[in-house]
Amino acid sequence: MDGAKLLRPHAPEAGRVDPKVLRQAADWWTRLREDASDADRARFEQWRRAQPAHELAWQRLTALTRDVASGVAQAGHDVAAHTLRQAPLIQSRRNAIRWMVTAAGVGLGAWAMGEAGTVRRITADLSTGTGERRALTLPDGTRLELNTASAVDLRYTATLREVVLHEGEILVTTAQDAKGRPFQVRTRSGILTPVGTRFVVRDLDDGRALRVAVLQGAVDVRSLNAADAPRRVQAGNQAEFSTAGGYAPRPLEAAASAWTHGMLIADELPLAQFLQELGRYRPGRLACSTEAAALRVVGAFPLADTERVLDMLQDVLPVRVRRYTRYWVSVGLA
Amino acid sequence: MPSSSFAAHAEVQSVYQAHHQWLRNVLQRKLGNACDAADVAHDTFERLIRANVREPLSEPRAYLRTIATRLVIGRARRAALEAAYAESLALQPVAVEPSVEHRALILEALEQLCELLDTLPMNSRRIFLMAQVDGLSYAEIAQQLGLTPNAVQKSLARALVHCYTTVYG
Repeated sequence: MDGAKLLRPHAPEAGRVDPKVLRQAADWWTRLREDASDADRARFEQWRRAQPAHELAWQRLTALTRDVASGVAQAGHDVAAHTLRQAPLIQSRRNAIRWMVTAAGVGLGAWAMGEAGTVRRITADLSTGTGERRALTLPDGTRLELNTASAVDLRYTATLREVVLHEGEILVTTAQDAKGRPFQVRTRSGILTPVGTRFVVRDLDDGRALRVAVLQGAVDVRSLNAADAPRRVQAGNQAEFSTAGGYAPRPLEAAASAWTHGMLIADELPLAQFLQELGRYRPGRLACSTEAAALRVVGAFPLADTERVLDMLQDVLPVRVRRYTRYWVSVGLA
Repeated sequence: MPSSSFAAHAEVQSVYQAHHQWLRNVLQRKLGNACDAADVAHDTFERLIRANVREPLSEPRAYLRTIATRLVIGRARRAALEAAYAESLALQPVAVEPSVEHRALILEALEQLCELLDTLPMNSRRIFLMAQVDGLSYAEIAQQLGLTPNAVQKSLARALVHCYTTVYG
């Protein structure tokens, strides 16, 4: 791939440029980028001709900005602008290494794939990588199960037991605390107080909403939208709460907790939505063509092998799975 | 230099025999996936061969772990980049479907740009993107970020120097 190198050093044999000269060149470059006066231009030409090192620094700097511009043009401006802002979430190599060390140190088998949540997951008390699930019992006896790509902080104080769900999805089975401290789950969009219970909380819509599915007992939900009154969701029900002020209760679906058994359950789920769900369990992008989006999927699928699930789709639906790269798969009509 | 390359070869072979399985186990624990672990282990030894080590490694496992960690990070970055690229294609108002080959070239270019920008501090990076990718004027950038145009220009100049150093060392 080195043949296609975009940022080739210009005149590498000419050696190093004095940092001071380089700073001058950069200063000129940025000044001339915008409305420079004729006098400025004349002074610049003078500077440029004063020493060969000036000319070299100038040539290299302009070559560099030209290469950047041509890389941007090659990708297409909008695509480049978006990608360059989204992609590099692993900020520096040093941070990334520290993260690897931490992850290994706490025995996490996961390496997050650099989605927006990566940083949250790195710093959280408990986390899972894409496709990973973990179950654990907290000191007070409360059991937590973390679904794929989830991050949780534990804030147990003398007066409160709080689980902060930064992103992802958890199943909580509460236990009576010996010290009588109340228990609650906080997400980015609301606070849930269970009443002796087993429930699933999922952070939705990048923190702007949450879904609670109550398997046993009941859960009181206070949305962070101040206008919303607290609501109680009883066992056998699930509901979504949005910071925009929405509340949509409906009967509990088997799909809500199927992940705790390693399954993805689809009951007449549109393909686009199905792939979105499946995509939570695998790194990279899983796209759906518009024509195929409305096809209905029915069945129970094993989450442990998402590749196989994709192959299964081809057997039951008139679709073809295209694999551009390992991290980039698209499903369209066959 | 046939003798030294022979020595290097023998060294790689003995490191391979002694530590390959260990490395695969470490990687499998880290990645949770045997195929990925095998891939990265393979690439690690390929790097080791290319590094043309002449003397016996004093800490072979530390050395292998360092290379492997770098490779794992590289893969994570690549995956993140591909995902971001795919997402930005999907966001285009008109459906864009570059050929597989074209995609590979674009990803290659974007990856290099990412690497170039990777070590920039967050603020200069933002200014660099606004100026060099979005083509905004200093005044426009200044307004958006609550800075003076002069500060924006200075920051862009520093970012350029930084990028230069990344390419030329």
